[in-house]
Amino acid sequence: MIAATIARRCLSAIPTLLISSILVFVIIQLPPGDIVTSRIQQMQEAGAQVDPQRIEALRHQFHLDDPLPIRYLRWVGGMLTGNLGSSLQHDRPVTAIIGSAILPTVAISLAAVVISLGLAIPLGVWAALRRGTIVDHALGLFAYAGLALPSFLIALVANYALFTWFGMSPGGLFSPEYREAPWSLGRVWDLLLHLLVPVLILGLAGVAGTMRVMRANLLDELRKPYVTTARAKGVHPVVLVWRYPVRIAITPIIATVGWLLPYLVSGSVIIAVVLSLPTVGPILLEALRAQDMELAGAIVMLLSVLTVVGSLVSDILLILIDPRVARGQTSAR
Amino acid sequence: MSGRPDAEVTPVAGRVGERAPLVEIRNLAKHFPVRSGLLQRVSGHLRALDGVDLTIDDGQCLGIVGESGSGKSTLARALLRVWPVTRGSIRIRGEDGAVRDWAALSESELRPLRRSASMVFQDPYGSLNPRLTVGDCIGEPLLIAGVPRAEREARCAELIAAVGLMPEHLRRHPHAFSGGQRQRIVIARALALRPRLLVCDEPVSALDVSVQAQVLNLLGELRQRYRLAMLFITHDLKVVRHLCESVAVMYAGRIVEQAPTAELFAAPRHPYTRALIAAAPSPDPTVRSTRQLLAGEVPDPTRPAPGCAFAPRCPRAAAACRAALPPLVEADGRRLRCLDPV
Amino acid sequence: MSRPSLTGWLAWFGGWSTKAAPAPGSDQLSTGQLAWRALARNRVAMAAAWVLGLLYLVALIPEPFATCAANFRDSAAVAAPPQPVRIWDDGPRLPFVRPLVAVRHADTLALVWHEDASRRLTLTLFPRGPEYHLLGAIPCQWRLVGLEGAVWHPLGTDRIGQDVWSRLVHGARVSLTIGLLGVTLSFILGVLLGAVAAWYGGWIDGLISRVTDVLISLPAIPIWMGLSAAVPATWPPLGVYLGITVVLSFMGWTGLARQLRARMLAQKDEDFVTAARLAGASTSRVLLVHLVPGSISHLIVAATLAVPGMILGETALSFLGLGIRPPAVSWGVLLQDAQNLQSLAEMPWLLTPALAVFVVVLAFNLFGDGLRDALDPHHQR
Repeated sequence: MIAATIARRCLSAIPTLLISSILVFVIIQLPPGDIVTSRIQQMQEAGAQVDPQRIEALRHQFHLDDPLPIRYLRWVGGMLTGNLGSSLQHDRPVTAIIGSAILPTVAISLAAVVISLGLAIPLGVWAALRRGTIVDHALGLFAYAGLALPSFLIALVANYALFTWFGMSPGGLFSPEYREAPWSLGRVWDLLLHLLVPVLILGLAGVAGTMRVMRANLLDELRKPYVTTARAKGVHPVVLVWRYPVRIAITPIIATVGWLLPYLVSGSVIIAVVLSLPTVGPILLEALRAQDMELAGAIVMLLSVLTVVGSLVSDILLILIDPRVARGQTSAR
Repeated sequence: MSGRPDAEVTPVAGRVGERAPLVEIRNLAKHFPVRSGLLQRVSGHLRALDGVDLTIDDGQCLGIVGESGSGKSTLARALLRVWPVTRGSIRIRGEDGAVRDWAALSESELRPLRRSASMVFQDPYGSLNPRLTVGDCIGEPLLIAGVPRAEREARCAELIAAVGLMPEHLRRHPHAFSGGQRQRIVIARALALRPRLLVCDEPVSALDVSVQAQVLNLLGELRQRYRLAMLFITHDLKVVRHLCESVAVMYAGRIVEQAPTAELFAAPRHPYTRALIAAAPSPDPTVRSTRQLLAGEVPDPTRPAPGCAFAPRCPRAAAACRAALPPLVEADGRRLRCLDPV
Repeated sequence: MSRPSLTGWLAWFGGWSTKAAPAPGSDQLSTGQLAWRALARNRVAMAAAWVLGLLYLVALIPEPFATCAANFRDSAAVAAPPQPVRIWDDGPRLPFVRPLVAVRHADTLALVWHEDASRRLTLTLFPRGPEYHLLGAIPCQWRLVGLEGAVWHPLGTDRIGQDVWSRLVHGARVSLTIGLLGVTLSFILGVLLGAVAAWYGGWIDGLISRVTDVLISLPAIPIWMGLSAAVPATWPPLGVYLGITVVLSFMGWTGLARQLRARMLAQKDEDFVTAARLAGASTSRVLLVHLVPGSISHLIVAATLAVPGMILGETALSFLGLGIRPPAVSWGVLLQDAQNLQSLAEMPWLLTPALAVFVVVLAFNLFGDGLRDALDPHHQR
């Protein structure tokens, strides 16, 4: 039963990936001009005469004379075999350019998910238990502002504040003194400090939203008769809250962790640009500015796959944790 | 219908003493597709209604009783062609006296005929559009039928008075009314085009007990006044006894027994009818009912077994009952689907 | 992600309440009138509505609110700090500002501007300046508030002497209207596709729902970035503006389509819809009288709450240099100057467009929430 549910969930990711690959292919094809026109431009700038036959040969060489569906299939085929195409701008395979950036990208997004949940759940419980007090209202205001403020604006302000007040540049992953240093405890600590700021900023929107859901869920749960019964029987308040109501209230949040990912991946791109982090974000921006569509398309596709696989993994974890999902009693999306 | 000359009720069909059938349902079935799996393929059918034969005469009140899930509400909606039906015929005599099979007509062909029948729903809170005034709700059928404005207003005032509300209530919105009052509004709307047939789907079960009797009395009164035929669907046997001339008992999408009300209650013959009547609380506290409680559940309507659907729960069931579906046999004004009746 | 309902905790801040005993005679009102009353009583939402109204007035006719043209370079004030309004100088005075003076920096030898504390320039109402065209047609000379014969820089200037406040005010036109236009486009797309999906069902519904799900589950910003790169560099500003709007709407319709589909499916089998059909109502009557009005209020709320996302999208794209391009101004274009940490440290006032974005987004959220609470009282916890 569980295996079948997991298999079905995995299968349902295929159309998602298919549609996003079509979308990305369209993105690559949309801008006017292609690799051949830019080569020709280069040649002409270098003073070379380019005759129509040469253009034809070039177009054939890059398969640009094939109909679009064939080119799409060739592109997808390349993706599946790990050939992400080659960058026009750098004249190198895409994999070589983005290879080292994938790990930080995944690490920062994952850390943001962990931070979101790690902060949001205790804060949500706190707000629910202190309902109607200043704590609840302050947290509510924070959540509201957190949802209204886009992360890149926070990143800009944080950048400025850290720089002027602490003389610290939050950009990059290391302080200048550790940048080239060999690995040491100090270097790890420095890395963690530099990761903290972007992860916190990125996680903020997630914290705000998840906290409100946690508060509402827990309040619903606390109203149920079994809580009243337990309270009447004299169960210690802390034990009472954490043993059952919190555990029940968390389930829907775990179930929707996958929904955080599009926002986080989206935000991480622009935050990485602001804080100059070595993720795929700045590479994407640079590629788009240079109209290097093969590279840009590969990155957009990579980010989409990351999101889809992320929500897939979260759903599978949920199925394993909560067997009711497999039996279809609770919907996992 | 007692005490009134039948000729007045049945102007079309000729002979005195014979009521003409207004509705003839034959072998009516409604199956809902059950979808499952990744591609939402149709994996089976829920047989909500599985071969129903019924006749409703002009001015007759026919009660349908049964447990929840027995297909009562589906019958009401299938009869009025809320959806296309799976098979069978619904022959209804129209305003012009011509009999048409509603099951075979398309939605647009049905539209002009719909005025001869209308419906009162179970949930008075869902059956009135909250965005319209009460006057707009009651007047909507008239508006659709092309009744001019002045006449419409006069009719609305007449209808709202007929259901015991005030003309000034017409300007208000449904949210200002209680459940009982809303049900009165729904009844007024249902009667707007002077239909021959009123289908009531559990019209009082969502209401307070104190209000139920008022609404039932109103329905009884209006029935007399407008000479309505009624199909009255309920799970409450008291209500049927009070209002209906004939009662049909449904089980798992089929009729198992039908008889004049008094006879059915006096001598139920199908074991299911018997259990149903025995399970109802008696108004007389001194009578200790010899309760024959039903064990088990209604069978899964997506996986029908051969034989009698009631057999798994029936104390009298024999091998023959499980082998094949017993036919609905008519004798002495009673119809019965049982091989070994009580 | 659920949006917090405001009523609870904002009511606490000012003892404001959006709930009151129903006024006498309220049962004669339609649900629309009741919703309007509830909205009018919600002071937070009404305040947000006024703020938005004012902002859109500025977006419509920015020139009187500005102190100079958006691309005017004041060579007498380069990288100058804000000139705040003062009313105290050895005693109360009419509102005045300090003039700017340039001092050569001892080390870098660069000119540095700061306020001259010894002089006063009194602000005047309706000062006259260079001619401009109101709404692109009406010739006009006056500004709302300013200095006679000099340019006031309420929020300072950037590295080439352009007035931040005036650019902010002029940028409002692009930043604010792109949200409205984008949501309108999304609304049309969403209503069309959502209604088609709900009404026809079957494989059409399956396809539309599937595409909707996919678009919702993809990261928006990278895709926006990729699509906006397709807007040719040679296009005129208006073309770029429309192109960016289309790009934003491309991802934006999904939420609206999903909501309309869900609402219509939920209502399709309501008894009052069945009753209308049984009364002989035509399909168009059922749709227009019974189904769409029931969904439209939700759609309006959803659209209101979708505007901030569009505004943020434009800001983000322009900030990255992929959206609106200089010399056109939008808030995202202005924030590009704040990307350089060094110039930000020297000129923190370059961050003020971020504040403007925040105010607009907050106002839209507050107003949208108020609208939702008013239209759907059961939503509140």
